[in-house]
Amino acid sequence: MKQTHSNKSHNEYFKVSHYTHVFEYGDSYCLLYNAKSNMLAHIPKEIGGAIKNSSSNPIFRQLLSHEGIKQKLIKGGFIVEIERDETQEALNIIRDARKVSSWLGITIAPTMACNFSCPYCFEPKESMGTMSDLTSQKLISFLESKLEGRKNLSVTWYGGEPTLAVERIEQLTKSIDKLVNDRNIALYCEIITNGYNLNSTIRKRLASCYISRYQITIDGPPDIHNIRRIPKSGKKSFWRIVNNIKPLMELYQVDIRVNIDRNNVDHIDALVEILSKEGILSHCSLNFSHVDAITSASSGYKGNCLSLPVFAKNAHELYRKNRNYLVNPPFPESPHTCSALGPNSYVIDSQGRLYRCWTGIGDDQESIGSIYNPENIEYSDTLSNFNIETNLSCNECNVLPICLGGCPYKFIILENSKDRCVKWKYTLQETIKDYADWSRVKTTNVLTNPKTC
Amino acid sequence: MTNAKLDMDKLNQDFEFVIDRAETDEETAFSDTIKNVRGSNCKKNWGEPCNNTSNQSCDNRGEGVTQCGSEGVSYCDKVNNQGCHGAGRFTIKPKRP
Repeated sequence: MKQTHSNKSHNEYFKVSHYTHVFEYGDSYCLLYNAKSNMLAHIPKEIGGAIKNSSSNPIFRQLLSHEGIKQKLIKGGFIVEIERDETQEALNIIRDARKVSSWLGITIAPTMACNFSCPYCFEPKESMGTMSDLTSQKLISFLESKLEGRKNLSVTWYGGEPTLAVERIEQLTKSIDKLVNDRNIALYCEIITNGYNLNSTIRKRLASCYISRYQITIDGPPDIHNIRRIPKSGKKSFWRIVNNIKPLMELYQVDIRVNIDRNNVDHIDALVEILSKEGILSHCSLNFSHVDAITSASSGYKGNCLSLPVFAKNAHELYRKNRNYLVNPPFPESPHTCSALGPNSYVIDSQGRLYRCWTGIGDDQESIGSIYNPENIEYSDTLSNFNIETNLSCNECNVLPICLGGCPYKFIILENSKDRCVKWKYTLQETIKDYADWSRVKTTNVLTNPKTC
Repeated sequence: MTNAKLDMDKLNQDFEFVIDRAETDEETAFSDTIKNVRGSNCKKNWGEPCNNTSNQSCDNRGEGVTQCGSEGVSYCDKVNNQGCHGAGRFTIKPKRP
């Protein structure tokens, strides 16, 4: 703590963090949450009351006189030194994200072709086909040039539908494997797929490519999913995808994404019930995602989208109603920024064009260059306009650390719309309370029914 | 609230963390948040340590079939190309088949 020459006691050099939230919890307790530390505590209401009115409540100073309480408040980030500029500290996280780190993430579309035709797809519809041998060679050269000083490499296979180009994935993996082995770099691979092609042959081939996480989208019960996730063959996709997930989920991390808009929001309970009966939810996470229409290719779908605040309320209610089926209740992510802000992440389409963000893939206007001319990459792209330092509402926001301006792309495109924030902003109190409920039930169960490894 | 004398020791005793995050170095924290890597069987919330100790199996709260790496709560090692089932930290290089 800062030393002082005045007569003030040390306790007067603490203030309640701008990011501390106090929520009443039953008759005798409160929940204490801090959006910077992302820690949560269950506290007597006397402490909660004193923190809520810290400037006028003498009990707040009494609390700080108790070393045990004071240390807990400091540890949780609930109080901070009075001279701390917490807003600047949060903004520094964004500044640091623009620096080179030891982590590199590349997202590769081995093909931009897709076997589905989903109405809300944000990618341009004209196909650019599958990656050529020459582009593949250029990609490896580009990647090699970016590996100096890296310790971790994350590869995400994307598209289009990446399983339409498994041979290219295999070939690129062999080359990438050599690059990382020569440099002792840790490799992590994942794939974003519609799951339709994941038969036993494809699964084996992808396993040899070290893919350890699958993200697969299911948008509702069969009758809803089948009109949103539509194979170009005209066949129905729901049960084929569900049956493809089953053998995967025992071996790998499978995250099921549910894209939610006005057309399916009332049908998600039915999906959860089916997935639970099929045993999927005891292995897979279920993530509710907001459908927006912010690219030119998806602009015609805008009328079907929910506003973010409405989506957030619906998503929270879905978690709450189906909590018995779900592995974990939702909780805000710790402070982090989008990887698109810095020189640590690239998206590469099948023609070798580079993008900062997945959202822009296939769109000429969003491309920042090509792996064919890596020296000409336009690094000072539109995301340099992501400057929340000058945005008063962000600077004053009491959940800034768990948002950090949200998606930079949306921040720029949507300007002052509420849709550019993170969903937690609209459901923080309910989310925190539900998490506390779940945690207390879990703790009780562990204490009364202990297991051993 | 009144200014009556409070039993501070009792208040301290009743002050319980629900989420008490382990300290992580900046690099780990950055990786954590970029890639929310966690095994499908992990029962822990993102960011919670899995209570592993070095080279032991995940406990029932992390509930995995993996073995921990030497980093203990920092991350879990993996077997059979499975995802990290433990702390939800950035995964390390998959074991080759």
